[in-house]
Amino acid sequence: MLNLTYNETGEDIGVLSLMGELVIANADEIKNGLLLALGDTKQLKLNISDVTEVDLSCIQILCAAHRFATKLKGHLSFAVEPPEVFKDVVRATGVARHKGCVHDVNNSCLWLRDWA
Amino acid sequence: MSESQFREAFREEAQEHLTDLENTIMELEERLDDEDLINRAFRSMHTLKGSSAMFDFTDISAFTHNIETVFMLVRDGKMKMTKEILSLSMQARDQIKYMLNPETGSELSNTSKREELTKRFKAIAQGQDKTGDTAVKEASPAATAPEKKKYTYRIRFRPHSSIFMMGTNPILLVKEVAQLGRSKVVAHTDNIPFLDEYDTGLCYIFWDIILTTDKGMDAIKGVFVFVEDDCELKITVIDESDSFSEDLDYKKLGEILLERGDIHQEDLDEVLGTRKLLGDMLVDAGLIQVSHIEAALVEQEHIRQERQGRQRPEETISTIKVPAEKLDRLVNLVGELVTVQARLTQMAVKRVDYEMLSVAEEVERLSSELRDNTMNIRMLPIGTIFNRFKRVVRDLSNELKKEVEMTTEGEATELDKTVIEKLNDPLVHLIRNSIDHGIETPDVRAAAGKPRRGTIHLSAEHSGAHVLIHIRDDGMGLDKEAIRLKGIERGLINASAELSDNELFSLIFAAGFSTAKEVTSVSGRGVGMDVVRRAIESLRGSIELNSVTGKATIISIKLPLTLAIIDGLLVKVEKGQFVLPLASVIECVSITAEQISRAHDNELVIVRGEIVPYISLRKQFYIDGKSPELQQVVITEVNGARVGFLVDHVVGEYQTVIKKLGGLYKNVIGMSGATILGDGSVAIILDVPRLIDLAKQEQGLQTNRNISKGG
Repeated sequence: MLNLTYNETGEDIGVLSLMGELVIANADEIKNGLLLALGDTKQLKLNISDVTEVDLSCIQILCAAHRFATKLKGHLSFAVEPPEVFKDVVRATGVARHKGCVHDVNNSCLWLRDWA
Repeated sequence: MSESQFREAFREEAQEHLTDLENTIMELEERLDDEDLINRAFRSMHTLKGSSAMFDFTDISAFTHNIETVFMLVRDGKMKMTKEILSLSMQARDQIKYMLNPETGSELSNTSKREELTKRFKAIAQGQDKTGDTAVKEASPAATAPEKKKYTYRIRFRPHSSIFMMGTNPILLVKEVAQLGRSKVVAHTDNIPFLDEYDTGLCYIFWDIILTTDKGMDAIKGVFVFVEDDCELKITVIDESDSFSEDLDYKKLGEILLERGDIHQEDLDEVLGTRKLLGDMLVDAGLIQVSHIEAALVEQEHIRQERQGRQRPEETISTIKVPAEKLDRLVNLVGELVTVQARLTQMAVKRVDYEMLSVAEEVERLSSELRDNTMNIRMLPIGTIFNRFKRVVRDLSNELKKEVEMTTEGEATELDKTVIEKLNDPLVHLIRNSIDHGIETPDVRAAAGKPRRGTIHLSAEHSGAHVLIHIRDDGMGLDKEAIRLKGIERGLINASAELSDNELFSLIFAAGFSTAKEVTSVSGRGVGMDVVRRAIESLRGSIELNSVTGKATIISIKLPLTLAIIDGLLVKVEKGQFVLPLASVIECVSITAEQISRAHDNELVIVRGEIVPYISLRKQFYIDGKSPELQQVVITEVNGARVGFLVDHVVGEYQTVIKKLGGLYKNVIGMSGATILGDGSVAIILDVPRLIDLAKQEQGLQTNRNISKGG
């Protein structure tokens, strides 16, 4: 089960809330939701505080979304601190780094985190 | 080493871990979120579990496993530390202690208690962490595996992009490999496209895993056995634990990248022509992706830590552990040597052999240095028992619903190991008394304008050849009137007697003396303070009490630095030789047969106008023969009272090694040991306080003070 909701805050900042299972079975839905939101706002914040399951495909999609946002001269970040279930997968995947990829021109890589 | 010796060594080591664990738990109770403390507690549990399994204490290992799991969850941030966990951990720690020494803790060791604790810990772990099982696996191999050769592998795992379609989750494989040992995982994410080009069915990531483990290459390959046709897998050994590489820095970044095939030599040479950090230069030149640099740096750091870890044991080998019995044996041998050396000197003097005398002097110098050094080895910081008392304070204040804090000072003060061992029980008793009788309940304290939390301050300091220990509490102090009335009731003092505070307080040390209105499980039974005094006196020490009503009580204990040697005064009665501890000797006075008869055999001597009672050693030890015309009275002072000992001759000061008396003399009162003199003869070391007690009982001997007051 996955629930997506998108809200604009009125200052050209949009918040996309992803609730439930961020897994490969819902990958298309997540991708489309992110594409729509990134088409709507330059400043997209992700609220994933209510996710229940996460897998590698979700990590990849978020990475792809961050690169896409940068390409559009936009910004993608977390609205609130991600939950433990998400952090655990990030740690196990080994995506954490000290420096973002070549696309990360404004140093906003999602994986430059203390907890990651 | 035999198996039983190994098990004994394990017991000792486990005991240290349990002590450390106890202290850590108590510190954690003050600072629940302290990561260092949580790590320390986890390490203690982890080591206990691992080594107990190795030495076949499987019950301890199994029991500790569940506690360790909870601490691991807390350490990994999956669970919050709570007071409940700490309280259960303290109970579990006690159970492990009893399991280690079942013969000493049989009454307290309780299987059903352990089962209940295990259930509680399991419930805590399961209730909070769904991944508990996998997390536990992580800790197990290292815990139980003996020290084996370790390898560090570089594993590049590049699954085919279609791996998701096969129903495989690559993260699970990466996790499984990482759990084979100490590992670092770096994901290469450079191939992930922009979102609009992203195919949700493909895997774009590949991994470099740096793993240090005692497992072989096959164990790693085994993890990937079901995907070997769906991935590229390259496993390289990059370091071994028995390699003698002194170089902590491992390979340079460029070397790692070249070795991995991530970069070509010519590109590297070209970039090195500029003067920036190599990683930045390579990325700037577009020759390599950032993740490759990250992976190579991770490898560098991992190997550096591994090599540093291997060097550590060599650095700490300067400390070795020796069983206490071996030290005791050494002290005994040194004692024998000192005796022989004294004989040698005596012989050289007798023969007027200057050459021999010169050798004897050299031997004397060396043996005296050897003795001092040996005694020094037996010295332990008193802090080792201070820490135990924190537990006593914690448990008792909880039980009595009081708030008590224990502070300590001078933990580094050193005392002979035997003194420290024998000091434990009396000090525990005094601290329990302070909490039960001294410190008031929080409400009473608040009403008296004191902080709700009471303080017990334990301090130790050197004072010449003695150590002074003070126990100070800021409780209600001693009730002088209650002590006086109890003293009169028990017939210890006259109703009209005017006593100084010191004398009044010393009544507390009389047998069966208690002013407590209620008898509790803690104190008030009137047994204890006299036992405490006797225990301190058996250590050749003294104890004193001071108190300010409503404010504080201070107990001061004075102890000799060591029990193994004694500075004594050698005296003679006929052929019998005795040593009186010099610490209690005040002076020696001569007494003639006429003075003795003038006192009508009352055994009293007048020293500068003061009447001092004395004990005749001749009578005390039933020594036959006629006393000389001029005898000596050695005046001693014990607990503020002066008592003399009548002897034939005073030989002089004598420093000597104390030997225990055999079992036959176990019940003989008044002798605390013996020593062998230079000529091979034996001298008895006198237990002055016990002799005085005995004389009081047998002859109704009164101290000089009481006599002078009674008229």
